[in-house]
Amino acid sequence: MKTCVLLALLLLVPAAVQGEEDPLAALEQQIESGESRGDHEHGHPHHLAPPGAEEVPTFVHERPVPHEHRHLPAQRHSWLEAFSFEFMQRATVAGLLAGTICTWLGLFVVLRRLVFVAIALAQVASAGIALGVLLGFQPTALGMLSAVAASIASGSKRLRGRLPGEAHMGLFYLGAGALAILFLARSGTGEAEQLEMLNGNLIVVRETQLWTLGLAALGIGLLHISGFRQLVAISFDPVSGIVAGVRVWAWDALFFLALGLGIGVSIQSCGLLLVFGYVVIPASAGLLTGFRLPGVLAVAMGVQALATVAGLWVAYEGDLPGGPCIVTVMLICLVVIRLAASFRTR
Amino acid sequence: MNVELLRGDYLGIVGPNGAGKSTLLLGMLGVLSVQEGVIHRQPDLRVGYVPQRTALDDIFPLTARDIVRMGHELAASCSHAPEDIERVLNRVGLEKLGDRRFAELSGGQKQRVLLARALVVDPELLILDEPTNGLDFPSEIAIMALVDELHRQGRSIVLVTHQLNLVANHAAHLALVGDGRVVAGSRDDLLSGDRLMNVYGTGLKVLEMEGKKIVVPRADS
Repeated sequence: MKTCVLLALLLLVPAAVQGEEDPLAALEQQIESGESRGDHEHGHPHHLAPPGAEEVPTFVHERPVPHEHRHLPAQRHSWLEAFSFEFMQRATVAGLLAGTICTWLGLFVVLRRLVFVAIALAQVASAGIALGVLLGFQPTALGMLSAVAASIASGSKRLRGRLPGEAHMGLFYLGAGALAILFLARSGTGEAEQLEMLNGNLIVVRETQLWTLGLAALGIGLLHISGFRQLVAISFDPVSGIVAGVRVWAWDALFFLALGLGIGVSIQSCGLLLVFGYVVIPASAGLLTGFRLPGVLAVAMGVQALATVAGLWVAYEGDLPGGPCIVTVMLICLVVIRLAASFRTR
Repeated sequence: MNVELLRGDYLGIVGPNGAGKSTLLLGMLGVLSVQEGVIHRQPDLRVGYVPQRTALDDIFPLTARDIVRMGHELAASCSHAPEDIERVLNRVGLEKLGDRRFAELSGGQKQRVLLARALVVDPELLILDEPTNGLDFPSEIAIMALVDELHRQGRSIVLVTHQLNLVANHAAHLALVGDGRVVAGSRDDLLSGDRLMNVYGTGLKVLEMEGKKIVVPRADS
């Protein structure tokens, strides 16, 4: 399993960073030229838009993709056609990388009953990005920093005072949500940015974001190899870990740092909804199988990968936003697994 | 409180709910730092800890063997050669339940799994926190028989419980925790009606029946 994850990362990251700097420009170039790339199956390029086509409907709101022409039967050779476009390849790689990061972290989030912490961190990361948009300064970096700071603060008993943990996180969530809206309202493009942040906008992922996601996924891969068992052990029974001489506080700090970074890195590419979906749904689906931990992790990774590819394909075919499509497919997978598990136990 | 625990000693920490037994235990384990006083611990002492099974979350998809292996791996990371997992499972009578999920085990079986995990480090000192809490009588007897056997093999035992009758017949030394105070001494010195009255605030008396001590409420209490 570990080898598979690392191999996938090593294969995906270089593939992800090939191509133009600006994906939107590339997308427009593809549409203008009327050619798709990499149609190896049929040995010739597809013609997406017939000559003279003027109207250009959208794939995700403001993104110009010639939707009605994709539905011409003569042009739909296979479902792989959707993934012959560079913007779809970038979206798929970004989704798979973010999905891998968030699913791995999500397994611990669900097991340690930190789901509310995760949504609060995602919201804080959104607020950091919104601040970056407002200031015109490094939204991704500000999103990551905000999530890491909130992740550390979430564990502070001194800051929490007499409040229960859920209320503490609720305040983070509310504060960050309000700030994100206020920042975006002042940024001039508030409404569109806000919608993008919620839905995610995988199809306009930039090369730098892919690199960042790739590095974060590599970091998660290394953490998996070096500390998965220790993290499980101290999550299950921290006191026994301390008695055994393990530096539980250090592992905990590393986990919360990884959680803040992972969510912060993923949020700008995927949006709040999809990041939260990647954190909660695959791990929950895996746990419903009743398998042992390695099996749970394998199923969770499978669910996120399948849902990313299938969800993006549905979004492409149905002219729908990508994030909600992926979340819906993940939920369908979860329901199918739940039904299969209940049949198996009968 | 001034307690010295020597090799092969059996100490029962007992007191009513909320008296501070678990806090004292966490201090002894080094999980909490003590505000006053000092706890000296022999360097490189191998300690096995058996937590309350209710403190552990059943949501973790772990089998009995996974949990014992967890202790094995933690021990390995702490530069001590751990015991063989199968041998330890066999020792606590769980050789046939190694692949069973922890969540699906009975209370007594769960306690055996946690005991096995503690034994995997071949402990010189075994610390048990409420090991029989919520168990039925046969399971309680079986667990205590296991602990007694481990004690006979030369291990030091610290048993934390709120059940007076449990320590009355197993531990040679007691630490009575109650009302913000700890009184420590031999079992025979401390198991008296007056001492217990001070700790529990209710009239208790100690009876002897067939060589066993039984603590019961006094009729006038």
